Amino acid sequence: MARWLILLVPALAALGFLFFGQSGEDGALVVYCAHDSLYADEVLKAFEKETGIRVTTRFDTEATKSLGLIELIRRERENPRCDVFWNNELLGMLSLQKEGLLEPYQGLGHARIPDAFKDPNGYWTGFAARLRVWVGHRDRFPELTESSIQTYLQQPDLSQVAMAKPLYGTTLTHYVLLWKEMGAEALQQWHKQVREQGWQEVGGNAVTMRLVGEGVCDLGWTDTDDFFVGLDAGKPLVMSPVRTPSGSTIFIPNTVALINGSKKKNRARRLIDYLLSEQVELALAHSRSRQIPLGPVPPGSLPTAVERLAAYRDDGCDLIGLEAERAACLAWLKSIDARQ
Amino acid sequence: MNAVWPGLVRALILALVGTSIGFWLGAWIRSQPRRPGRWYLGLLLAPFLIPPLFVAYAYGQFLLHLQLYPTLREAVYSLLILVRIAPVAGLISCCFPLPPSRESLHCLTLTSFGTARRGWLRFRMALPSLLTPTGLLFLLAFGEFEMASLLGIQTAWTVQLFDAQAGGQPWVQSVRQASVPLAVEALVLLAVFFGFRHHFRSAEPQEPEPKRNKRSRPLLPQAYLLPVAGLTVGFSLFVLVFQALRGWPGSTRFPMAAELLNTLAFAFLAALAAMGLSRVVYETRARLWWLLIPGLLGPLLLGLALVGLFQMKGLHSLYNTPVPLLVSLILLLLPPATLLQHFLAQNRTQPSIHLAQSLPGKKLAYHLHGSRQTWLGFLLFIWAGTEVLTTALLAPVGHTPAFVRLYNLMHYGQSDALSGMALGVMGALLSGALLLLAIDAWIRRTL
Repeated sequence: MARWLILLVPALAALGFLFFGQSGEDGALVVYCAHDSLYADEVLKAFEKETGIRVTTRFDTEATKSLGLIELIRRERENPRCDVFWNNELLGMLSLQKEGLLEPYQGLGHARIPDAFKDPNGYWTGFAARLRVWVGHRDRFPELTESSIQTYLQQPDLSQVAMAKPLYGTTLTHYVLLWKEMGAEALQQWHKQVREQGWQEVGGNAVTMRLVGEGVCDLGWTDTDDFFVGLDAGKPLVMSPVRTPSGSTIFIPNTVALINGSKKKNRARRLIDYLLSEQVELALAHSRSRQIPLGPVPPGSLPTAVERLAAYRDDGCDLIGLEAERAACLAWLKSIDARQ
Repeated sequence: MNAVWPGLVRALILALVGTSIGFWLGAWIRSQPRRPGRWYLGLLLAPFLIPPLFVAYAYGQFLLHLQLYPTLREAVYSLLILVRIAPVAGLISCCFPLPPSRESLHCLTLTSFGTARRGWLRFRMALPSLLTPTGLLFLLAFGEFEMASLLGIQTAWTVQLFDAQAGGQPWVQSVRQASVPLAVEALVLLAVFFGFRHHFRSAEPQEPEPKRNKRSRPLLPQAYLLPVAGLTVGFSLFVLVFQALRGWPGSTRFPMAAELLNTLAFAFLAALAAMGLSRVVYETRARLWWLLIPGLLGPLLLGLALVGLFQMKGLHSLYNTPVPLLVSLILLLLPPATLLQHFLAQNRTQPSIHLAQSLPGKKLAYHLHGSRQTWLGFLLFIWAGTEVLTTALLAPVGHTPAFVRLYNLMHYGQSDALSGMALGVMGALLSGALLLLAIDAWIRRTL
């Protein structure tokens, strides 16, 4: 037994040093990040290299996205561990703002972003957006248009249409907008009907893209970043922006905010300004995810595909002021999920 | 959460079938000569030892194509679980040769009972001892998570509950939803412990079965062992290696150095502690068996319990430290570690070891059985390093172990870079485990 102790004691000490050496007020900046780790990691590491400020990041799973991190921030309200929240959508951020969990900051980055994509008092700021899109298999849809989609959706069997579980992420935002425009009852009726017709609910937008890309499904809802990942992988995909009943597109920005109670405010503000900079928006536009910049960028600096998507910005839905719809829609979705 | 009942039925069927297969193979392996018997034992255990995450990753593309055939998807998933859990029954069969003894069977043949009645009596005598392996297999099948999550299996209550909890559901609500699975597992655990106690009370010393002549080896067990090992371990490694080589040199990018350090540290400590604790639990017999219960509940229920525990006042300050994750890993490793301690103890009764222990000095005794403890540590280290579920729930911020990152990335599907990363992580874990063997060599030199 003494031999175990000889090995265990220095190992515990090493682990304690490893852990506690990194915590505390002089420790690394803690970022909760709902954005895909594939892209966010590069950006945060570049920030570390440029500024010398160490960052530790907590990502979420593909299945549950920002909802888990939002609840975590709520649970930690008395002793917040997170300094900066990098969310991949807006509605959850609005809930945190309403609960007083965010702290306003209006720096250089905030000034750079148009008013339509930020809180006027600086509680959160949007950047690098993506679009909700229909994704289709090229063999089935040589040209993916609104009319070809609607024609397809008329058939009784929709088992080859897929979407991510609407409990989370951008699909939840999509449902909330439909809830607002169609009304609760109409949306619930539509959802029941399409599910009875076989419309598939799968584990995430990436799974939807893969199903369509492999030809298992013909059509699906996903985001532009997942579409481009599939396209780059050589999948025969086409896409068309989703339009709500009012004709609006669904433009979903990343959002960033300073957490109320953070003990590393100065470093947190530097990270926020960095994320909202032209440099980062261009980096994300040129990355595999092709995120669409919201702030001004030099003409001709964007890839062609992103330029085309940026044209849809003016048609985008207003996502601010949807907290009540979000709460009601989420409660309904959770109740039907529990029954499934 | 109505996925509990389909999961329960599936787990029950798989446990019964898996126990039958495992005991059949275990009995055959026991009858083999020593050297080929070890190889067959290795083949038997291989599907259980390969991380289920890798198997799910390898089969993910295939199951994607079955999206429109949910029954087929369920069948393939069930088959993957079956081949994974059956080896546990095989190993138990090697540790606990099934009563009745050969003497009892001989007495049965002297009676005037018919074949059917003799068969029924033989089954009745063996039944209490079957409770333990069947119950353990049930718990493994019922609590399976990684494969169900990556393969998108809708009828897995573990995935539903984990997604809800990780997605922000209040802990109290998660506990409420977990009450039915918890009740099921508690009942099964009672059966497991009853069966185990019954075996220890009524165990009759059995002479080793006569080893079969090499020429009389039947082909059927080999016809199972080789293809199953190939379809699980072989296919999974093939996918990983093929894709990693295809993506060379891009697939050698390894952005998970910090996560790997975390993995190695947690796995090393947890394995060490579980080894020592399992010795204590095993040697105290009934007194400390209750320590095995949390680990036998499975990683999800254990993880939820610890999330709640470390959010209570007094313990909340430890919530974002390594402590909750270490505790969960140790508790999870304790049951298999204790079972393997019993397996190792079987060998300590051999006359050569008894003689070695009687001689002055410990060197010979350590050579004969101490090294086996190191192999136990090797296995525990790998299991701790590849654990996903409790790690995802309990890892402190900024100290995410590598397998959780792999699990998150694997949701995006197969890619050359990801396959390279997975191989890199596994290679690092195996290297870390080899360090234990190096420590073993150092101990042997210093004795």
